[in-house]
Amino acid sequence: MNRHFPLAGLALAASVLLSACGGGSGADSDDQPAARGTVVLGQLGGQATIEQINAGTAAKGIQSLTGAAKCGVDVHYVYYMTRDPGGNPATASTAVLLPSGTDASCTGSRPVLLYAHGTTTTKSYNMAQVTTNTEASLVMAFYAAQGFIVVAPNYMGYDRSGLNYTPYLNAESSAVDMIDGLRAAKNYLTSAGTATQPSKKLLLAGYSQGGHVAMATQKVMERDYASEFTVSASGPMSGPYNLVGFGDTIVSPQGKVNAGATLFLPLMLTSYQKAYGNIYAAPTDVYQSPYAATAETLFPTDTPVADLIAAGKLPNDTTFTKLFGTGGLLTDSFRSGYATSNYRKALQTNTLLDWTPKHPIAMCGGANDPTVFYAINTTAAKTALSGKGVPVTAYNLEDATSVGPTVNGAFLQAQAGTSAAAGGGTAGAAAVQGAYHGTLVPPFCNVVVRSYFQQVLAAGG
Amino acid sequence: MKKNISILAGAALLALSSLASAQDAQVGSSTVYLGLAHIDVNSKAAALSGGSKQFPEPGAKVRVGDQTTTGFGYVYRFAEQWSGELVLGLPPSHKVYGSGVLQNVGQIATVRQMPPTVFVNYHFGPLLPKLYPFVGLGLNYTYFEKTRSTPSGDAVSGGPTKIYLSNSWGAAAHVGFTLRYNERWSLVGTAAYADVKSNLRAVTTTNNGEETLRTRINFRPMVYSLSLGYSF
Repeated sequence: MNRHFPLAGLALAASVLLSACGGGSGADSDDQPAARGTVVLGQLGGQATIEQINAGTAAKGIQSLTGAAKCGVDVHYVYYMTRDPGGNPATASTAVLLPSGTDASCTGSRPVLLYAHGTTTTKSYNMAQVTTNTEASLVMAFYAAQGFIVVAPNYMGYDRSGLNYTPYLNAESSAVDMIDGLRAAKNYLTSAGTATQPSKKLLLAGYSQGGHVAMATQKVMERDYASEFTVSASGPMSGPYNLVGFGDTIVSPQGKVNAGATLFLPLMLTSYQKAYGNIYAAPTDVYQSPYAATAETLFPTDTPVADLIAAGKLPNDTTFTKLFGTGGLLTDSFRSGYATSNYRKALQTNTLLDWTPKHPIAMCGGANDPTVFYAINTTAAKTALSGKGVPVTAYNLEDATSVGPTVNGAFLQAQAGTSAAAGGGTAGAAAVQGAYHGTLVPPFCNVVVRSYFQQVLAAGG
Repeated sequence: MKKNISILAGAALLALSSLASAQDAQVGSSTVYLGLAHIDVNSKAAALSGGSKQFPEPGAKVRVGDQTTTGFGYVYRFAEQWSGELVLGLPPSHKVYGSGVLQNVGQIATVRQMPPTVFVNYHFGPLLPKLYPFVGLGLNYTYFEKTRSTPSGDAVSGGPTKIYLSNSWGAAAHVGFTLRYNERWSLVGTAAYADVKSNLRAVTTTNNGEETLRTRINFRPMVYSLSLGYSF
């Protein structure tokens, strides 16, 4: 008996050994990916002094709007883990603009502004580059220098992000990226132990594409993350909240193509094709030749748009409106099939008119915006979202009764200045059109939205 | 894995408790063995270089994880105190983790390797009753047969990524003991080190073409094994 015992043990051991196979190499044996909002890299990138910020706003002639800086700003940069529209691990980065200095409004617990930037085709776009990035310097002056901690994600697909496209105007995905950027920023500030730390107050704002992103973030935060974040208020600016209505306007033969459409459409088509997989079977279904060959992977890129036009990768049209017809970007069949297309369904999916906000919204825009049409987006969103229990406001810079005579007067004066600088008349009107969405509206809407935020915070919101 | 080790330990205790006496292997005898091998990788590699994404110090690095696998092999006793040995095993898959700046990314790849090794061993007389120590010097060939970037690896690299590892030839050494239960059965334990170095290339397909990151990994593996041998 004694002899059989070890032999039985040996047989058993051998059978178990044969089943130990050195670990699998298949995907099912992979570790779980790092949690959303995990900080991969966080660092202090630079500092802006009060004097530097004031010099910048003075040079741009917007100091009467921004106000004199109360705080210096430490510019931090955080690279973090998030998820792409398919739920796969993805990386992205965010700027964290931290007020510094001795003023009481720059220290201790400060409210957080989660800011969503506007459309860019530039791959290396980085909101932490406050000296070279116009939108970043504007946000720094308006908010961080006045005591808000600004978290401004660069979005998946930009800067160090590994995603080789950007989930452009994808409401759910954009919200996930913003939320993870905010989590990463807070994780980073906690571990860095900075003197200034986030309070529980959270404000959401964004411009253009970022207006849509900010509203989508509020919707998703209030729906899915209410135990983690409480939104005090949001200030979406000049955003395409009504994507399907806006799309109907742009694509319909009787409609009007918006300025910038030949840049926005490739971003949207690729975004929705990646997310839903059913927008086209081949790029030639939607793009005319020769654009079909490269349009799908054109953006984001560090090649300047002028070079892309010169290389024949975009229609040769500096107003970026040549969407249809001979030499245009998109095919006639795309236009004729639009009404029943999966593209229109994707626009419907990402339209932000059908939800119930739980905290106040103060939209802002200019009624003559040639890039993101005001009435179809901002007015429509105000109508759709109002009367659901929280204040929903739409500030129109063109209307003195909406924004007050001071802001309205200064906005009209800025337009007159732009027109005069171009020689007035038709050239002046064209210059105003060209500068309206990207240059003229942003400082005025930011002053309106910031003032709204300050009222909400003062009222304890 | 813990269960396997406890079964082995049980078998070892039974072997120790036996009253039978045993001599070490006879000249001309062969032994085959089967057991567990734990590969304790202590990899060192410089930061990944190349590519468009620059990282601050200490740079983007990789670290190779440990693995336990089934080991087996063949020993031929060609002289009273000398044997030749071929060490094989089921190819272990190692998880590769981000390190340096990529520390928090977690697992970024999986690599499966085949590390056949030959040894010439010198066997000493019994240290304790039935316990025969030995030392061996040899040659290791490590063949990387399967590599895969994980979704996290692709996310950091900037797109679908293929990983290539050059195969490695290097010296190996081990020390061990044979606990001889009887003339047929024995328990063999070893601790081995092998010189395994490999050039890693991670090739990522981006919108702007292929991007290649490179580093040279010194695996510095310690391999601990415990096996049951059958001599004939």
